[in-house]
Amino acid sequence: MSERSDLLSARGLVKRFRSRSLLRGGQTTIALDAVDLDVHPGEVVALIGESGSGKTTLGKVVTRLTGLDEGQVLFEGEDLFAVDRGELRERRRSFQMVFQNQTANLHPKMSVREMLDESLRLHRPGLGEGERRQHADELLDRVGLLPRADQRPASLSGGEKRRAGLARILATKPKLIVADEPTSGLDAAIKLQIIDLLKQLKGEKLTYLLISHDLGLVRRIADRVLVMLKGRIIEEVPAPLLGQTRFHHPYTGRLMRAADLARDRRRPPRERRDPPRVTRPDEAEARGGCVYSPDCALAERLGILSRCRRERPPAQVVGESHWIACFGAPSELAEEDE
Amino acid sequence: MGDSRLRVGLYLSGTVVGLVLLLGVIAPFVPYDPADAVDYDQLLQAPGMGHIFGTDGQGRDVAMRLLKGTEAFFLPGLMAAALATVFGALCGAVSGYAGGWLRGGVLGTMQLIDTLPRLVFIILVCTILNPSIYLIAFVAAVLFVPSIATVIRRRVEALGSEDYILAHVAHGFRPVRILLYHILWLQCRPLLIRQATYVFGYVLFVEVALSYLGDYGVQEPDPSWGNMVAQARGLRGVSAWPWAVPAVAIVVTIAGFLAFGNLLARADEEEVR
Ligand SMILES: Nc1ncnc2c1ncn2[C@@H]1O[C@H](COP(=O)(O)OP(=O)(O)O)[C@@H](O)[C@H]1O
Ligand code: SF4
Ligand SMILES: [Mg+2]
Repeated sequence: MSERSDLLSARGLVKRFRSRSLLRGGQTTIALDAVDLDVHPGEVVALIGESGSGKTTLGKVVTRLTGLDEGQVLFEGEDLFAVDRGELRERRRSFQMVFQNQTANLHPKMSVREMLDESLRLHRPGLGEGERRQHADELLDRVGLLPRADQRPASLSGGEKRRAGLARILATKPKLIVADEPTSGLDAAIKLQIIDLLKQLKGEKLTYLLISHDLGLVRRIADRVLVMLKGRIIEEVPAPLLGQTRFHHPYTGRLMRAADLARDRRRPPRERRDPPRVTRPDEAEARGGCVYSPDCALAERLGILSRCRRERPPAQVVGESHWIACFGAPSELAEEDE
Repeated sequence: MGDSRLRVGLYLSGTVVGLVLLLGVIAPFVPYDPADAVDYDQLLQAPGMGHIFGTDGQGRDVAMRLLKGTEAFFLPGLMAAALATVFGALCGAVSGYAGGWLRGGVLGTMQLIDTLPRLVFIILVCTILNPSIYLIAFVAAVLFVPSIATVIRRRVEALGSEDYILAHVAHGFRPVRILLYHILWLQCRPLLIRQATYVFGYVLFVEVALSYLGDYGVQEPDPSWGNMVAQARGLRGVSAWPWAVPAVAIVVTIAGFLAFGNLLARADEEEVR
């Protein structure tokens, strides 16, 4: 399944978090549940899903910022979890992650220019002092931060912090950028600026794994969209089809409606048809079944709920580069492609 | 606190610190023979030309003894401050960053040391070993390591918990560089300076106390700020200068160092806000 041209190819990723409590015993959260992920050079893959679905964890696992319980991550064909620490540090410049937490990306005691200089010194050791400065200026110009170069993070606005974080990451000339919620917490106008910047960088043939639950951002920038729910990828859909096809996983449909609702302020919240609950009845039969089954109206309508609770739905192809992990997915389309 | 008041405080206390450092550095190069300094024609002179702080009960120049008296605490104080901050910072960084037995071991040792009451322990060491001021300073440094380590550990933990270390690891920095440069040097420097000024002030305080009490500190005729005050005790009502000058020097120095450390740390916090 994995092609040579894959930049990133991950198979069967499992990540569990155990919280130990003396009184209640250990509790296990399954943050990634047998996830496969491929990213080809030059494309933008978006990861959407409500918070807690495992998006950040997936981003951290494929950049080996956290351990892995099962599975394999290949970066340019090389097993990322097999390289030793020194090697790994060398490799890191090829895959960079912008954290959601902006204070984590920047050093509070350094100006943007100082940070860039430090990054360049680390990742481009051949450059002289003057060349580094010139490079830093180019990077600053690319993200539109040249006039603010000598500011420290505390005096930068939210949008400027994002730009600074991006500039720092661009200094390494990465092959893959994992951007975790790059527009969260920004107001609309600033958000658009960041979207434009990301688009511009996409034009420069950068490859991203874009983590966001901002569907507007995703539709504008991504090529492919992966929908995550409770540690599983439950749909893959070409970005132009997002919200434009009637074949969506019921959970994707719910995300879409939630996004539309959020935009239309006039409708009172109590008219929302979807309950806020996702999963429980006992963690969808201890996750042997579909993790959406406790909320799924479709399963009830089709009368397949008991099956949905017991069996994990496999991916059903419903179109070109489009699959849905759902028993209710149109069977004739699925057969056609098999 | 207002910005300008903070700045004035920093300048004032910084001047005290700078002055003490200056005196401490030049004192060893000024020749002084305490026996030679006695001059019975010049007893208890008021301040004036030749003797800016007057003379003591044996006609010795108070200003000169004040200068030479810095030798009793200056190097030991610096040594203790440096030792305590370096080891405190390392212990704090390790226990804040590492996990498992290393963290447990460091924390346990710190807690153990921290249960010792400092002054009582130092006096105990004195009565048993009759040590030099350097050994006393060393003991003081060790006694301060836990509290410094705790301050640093908290800061490291606060920073580490916010994906901060992870983001820097992700960027390709070595953990050692993140810990020593990004966190200790760039983020904890004002905290460490504050701790260092505490330790320095504490060593001065201990030296003064020991010399004043007389059994363990610097012995006459060698000068120390503590024994200067003790010597001049009997002169109350006759001349205030011989004891007031060293007493004021002690108070101003300790207060100046503590204030400088505190204000510096506060200025740093306000800057990051
Ligand atoms: N360090 C951690 N310790 C324990 N649980 C964690 C940790 N990180 C994430 N989780 C859990 O894993 C799940 C997925 O989290 P995350 O990847 O942050 O989701 P998302 O980024 O989609 O919001 C959540 O249930 C979260 O509580
Ligand atoms: S598999 Fe069943 S429960 Fe899950 S989304 Fe499809 S129909 Fe609903
Ligand atoms: Mg997240």
